[in-house]
Amino acid sequence: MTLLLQGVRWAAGEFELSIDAEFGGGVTGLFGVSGAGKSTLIEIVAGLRRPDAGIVKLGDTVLTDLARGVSLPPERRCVGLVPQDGALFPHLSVGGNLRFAERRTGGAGGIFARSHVCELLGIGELLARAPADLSGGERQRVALARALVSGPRLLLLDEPLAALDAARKAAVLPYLRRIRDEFRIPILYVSHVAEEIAALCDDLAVLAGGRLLQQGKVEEVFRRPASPEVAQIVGVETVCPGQVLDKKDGLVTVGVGAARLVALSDSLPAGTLEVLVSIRAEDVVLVREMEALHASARNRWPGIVRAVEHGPATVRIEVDCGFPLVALLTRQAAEELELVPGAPIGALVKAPHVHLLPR
Amino acid sequence: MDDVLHVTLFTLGVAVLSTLLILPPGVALGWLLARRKWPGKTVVETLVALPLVIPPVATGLILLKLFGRRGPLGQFFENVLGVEIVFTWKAVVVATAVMSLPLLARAARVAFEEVPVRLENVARTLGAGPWRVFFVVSLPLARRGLSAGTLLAFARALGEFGATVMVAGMIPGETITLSLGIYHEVQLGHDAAAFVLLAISVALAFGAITVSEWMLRRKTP
Repeated sequence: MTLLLQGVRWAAGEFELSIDAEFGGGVTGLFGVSGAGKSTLIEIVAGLRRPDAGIVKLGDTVLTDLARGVSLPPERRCVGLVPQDGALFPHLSVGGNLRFAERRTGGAGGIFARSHVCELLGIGELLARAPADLSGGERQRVALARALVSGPRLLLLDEPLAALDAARKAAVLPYLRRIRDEFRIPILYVSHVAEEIAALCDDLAVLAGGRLLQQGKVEEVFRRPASPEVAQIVGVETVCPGQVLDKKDGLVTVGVGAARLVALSDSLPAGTLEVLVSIRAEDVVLVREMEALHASARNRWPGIVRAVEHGPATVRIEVDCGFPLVALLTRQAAEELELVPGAPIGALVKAPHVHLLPR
Repeated sequence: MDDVLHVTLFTLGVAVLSTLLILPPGVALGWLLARRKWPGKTVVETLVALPLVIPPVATGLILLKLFGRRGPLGQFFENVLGVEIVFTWKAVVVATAVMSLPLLARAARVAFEEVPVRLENVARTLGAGPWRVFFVVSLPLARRGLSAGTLLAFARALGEFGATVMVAGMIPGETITLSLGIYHEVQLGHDAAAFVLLAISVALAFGAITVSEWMLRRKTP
């Protein structure tokens, strides 16, 4: 199922949103600083905000087509929404909140059945509680469950982890992954935190000033930002999947492609095997002759320069060292190293700068 | 003593009836003012606030002209429904209702404005239509403000004087409420009788406040 936005426009004062986009299955991250138009876009898709013009289609269902006078009310769109604070009804118990949403499905069975959803999100014990007595993480899980039992065909998650501290975030993330893997409905995940996007999303759409600047695979967008603006918003990073090979003395060895990476193990939950490796481009040091070098960095990879891209003050270099690695250097440094595509080069990264996210 | 009991029951009955009458329109009006934009909203806002700012006697005069034999509403009631309003107990209900509606509508407006729009929006995305959202989400969440407003309206109805005396007059056994009775007895020089009615008024006010406090506390564990 695809979510299609065609010529969607909405303007208020200085701000103008103008979007043409197609979001496929899986999880698409909507990334952008505040004021980029993420929430406006979410509200338009949910039917809570009427655009000035445009078409919104979910699969074969036309949700909005202003030229033809179609604008389905939110209750008939089957689009689930989970906002930042969960928005649980404070006067209803957890069970009451779920029953409210079940009215659409009539509490029908299948994967959206309450018992299944409660088990999946681990909230079976909480049904009699009042929302006020829940922790932040529990509240978000209940909000997710409530959206799911309504039988949505699309899930909109508007910064669902933003109100949580790091520990709670880490606790809720696995549930989001379960939802992704279990229900197979498209999910739009709004966030301004690169780590969350990298840990959860397949695709990434970067939004700024009401415009869609770039859309593509998460790794692609992080590695090859389409413009300096995108690079500035997402930060240039190498993001690629890897496997944990070894863990000892507080260090983890991760296999990425043909290369071996060393990272600190403290942030990685025990038993994690599949990880997503992210290395910020400005943390990579490039050297000409690695053999003669005595460096403290744990990661030293020989490689070949694949691409050199000049920005206003910096140069973005893509190096193939068994996996594609992006480095950001100053112009002077790049000139001294005489970097051209095809030239051999060495890359150094300190272990604390290799960030691991459980997959 | 019979008279005192009659006046007390009559006053209570009128206050209850007028409060019940204005509850649906008052709550609906409060919601419309809080949540919707519509043409003429400012005019209605002003009209609703009017009885709060102009002297009650002036409101009473307006009602007298509207509901009188030759007034537009008076003719409607007399010719279509065959009911006479002015100088009957019905006029007392009309006067107290009109005087207390603004209090209820304003309290309802504030109460609905305090319900987070976010919750109503999420309720819509969960498959609930506007009516269900109103009855299951907005109304219960606004209940504290609504009960406070209802009590205020009820208290106003209990004590209304100026508008009532204009449209209903002071007809013993027919339109005399506690407040009208106090004035009436003092005019006749029956201070002792006036004090009895005064004591009852105070007792009723105490009772109303106690009940409302108890209701508010009961709803918050």
